[in-house]
Amino acid sequence: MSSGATIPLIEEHVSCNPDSNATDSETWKSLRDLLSHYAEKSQRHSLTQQSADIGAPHVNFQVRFLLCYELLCKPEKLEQHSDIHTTKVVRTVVDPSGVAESCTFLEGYIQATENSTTQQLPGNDVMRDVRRVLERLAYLDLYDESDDESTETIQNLIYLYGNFGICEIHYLIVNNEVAPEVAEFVLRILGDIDHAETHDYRRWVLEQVLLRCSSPDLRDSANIGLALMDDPKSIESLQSAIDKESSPFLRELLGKTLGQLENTKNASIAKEDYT
Amino acid sequence: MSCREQPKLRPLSEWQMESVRFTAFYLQGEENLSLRDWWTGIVGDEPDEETTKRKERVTSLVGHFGAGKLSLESQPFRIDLNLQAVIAEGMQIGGFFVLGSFEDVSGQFVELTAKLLTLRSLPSITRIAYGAVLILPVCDRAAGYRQLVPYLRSVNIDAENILDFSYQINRRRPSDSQIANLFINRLNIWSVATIRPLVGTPQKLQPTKAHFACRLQLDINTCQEFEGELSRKKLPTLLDELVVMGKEIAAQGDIA
Repeated sequence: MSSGATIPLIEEHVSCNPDSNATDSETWKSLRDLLSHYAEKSQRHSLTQQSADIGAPHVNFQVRFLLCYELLCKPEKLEQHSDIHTTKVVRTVVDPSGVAESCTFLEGYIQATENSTTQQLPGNDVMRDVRRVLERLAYLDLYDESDDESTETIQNLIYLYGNFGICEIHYLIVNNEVAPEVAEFVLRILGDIDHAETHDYRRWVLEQVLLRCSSPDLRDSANIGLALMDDPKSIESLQSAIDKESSPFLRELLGKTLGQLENTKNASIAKEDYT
Repeated sequence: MSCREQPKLRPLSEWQMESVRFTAFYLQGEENLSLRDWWTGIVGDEPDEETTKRKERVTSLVGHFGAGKLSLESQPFRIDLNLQAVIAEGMQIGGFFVLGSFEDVSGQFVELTAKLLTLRSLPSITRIAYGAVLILPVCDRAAGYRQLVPYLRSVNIDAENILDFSYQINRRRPSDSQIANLFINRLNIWSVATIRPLVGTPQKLQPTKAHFACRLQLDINTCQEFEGELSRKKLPTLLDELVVMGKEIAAQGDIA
């Protein structure tokens, strides 16, 4: 890990479904253990207590807890906002260097269930957090193979904020409000995440960048993202992109991705026929 | 029903609707949805307000409809049609502002939604949801918890000694729509709500008598694992299926 400006995000899942034999109390015990683990790490036991106290019984329940901390910043104030469906633990931090203004980070987020279609997160949190994370990535060596944290940071933003996060990422990239190397890095990751909820939107963003961005580097990264995603639904967009691509080199790369997706499509059809 | 009466399942007609929602998730990230045309097509009138947040790609149209406020909102990959009771303007039952009885409002809302689903400019839909917040007024908090007992038969509710109760469950079922591999998530959240109106001048507000109600939040939706487009012809039937499931939960509680 490089400088203290990094924001590592750690994610853990505790889940309990109706088919399992786990009881509600076991779910909450797991959650408490998890929170204790992180609280001990960050020496903030109050966080454990506050979060564990919301132990309402839920039968089909998934807890997604994300802990976000910054080495340079010291916690100043802990707040908890909760309603029936979600509990957010928000930490206000100050940057002792005085460079950054005081800011609030989303520290923990406990989500009701993975199948809910109720909208739960306000847009302001998303915009602020995504922007800050992408800005900070500009100071890191994104392709340091010994350090997966930059990748995990983006992945966790997407797990946390879903399509709202993708929307903000898309906006920042197409409006050149993020460093080019960060944009390229993020586009590749967009294609390399296993997250069904955001799959269609990530694919659409990659296709839009491929078809509309003037930067060949961004188009190249979007192409890599689509290749990693390996979704034949992008075939049409790739064909359009090849038709309008001005760079012969990039056109060749797009052709390779197109071939790969067509193979995937054919393999899928063959598998269906077989079964 | 008196506060001391032994609680039993209440007729569906007694549930009041605070808000109702239809959500459609669409396949492609269309940027130019014909929201205004849709509004005119389903409401037959112009909206009162139109707001666009360009950065978030959110567009929202709002207007009065019946006892509530109707909004049609689009954002990336999602369209919401919401009908919500208007505080201080709408109908008041047991201290709560509501749209009307669940049965009546549900019927009107389904008619509106069915019109939306027949619009030709609607993008390809991959997932739909029917959501509602229902209330059933009761005398006090403990009476509310007692009233939940016949609805939540698998839960041991100590009505006199608990606070902040919330029970959420999803009992998924296969769809009856003949669409292969389509399952319906039947999310329902049960709690007891309190409302305590404030009266007086802005400088000096006094709380008045609190009102209580059993609160049921429904989120009946097609599963996100379903791949591909939902058949346009089958969307109205599918919507009916979700609404029927919602009514079943309100009438019979948490059943498999």
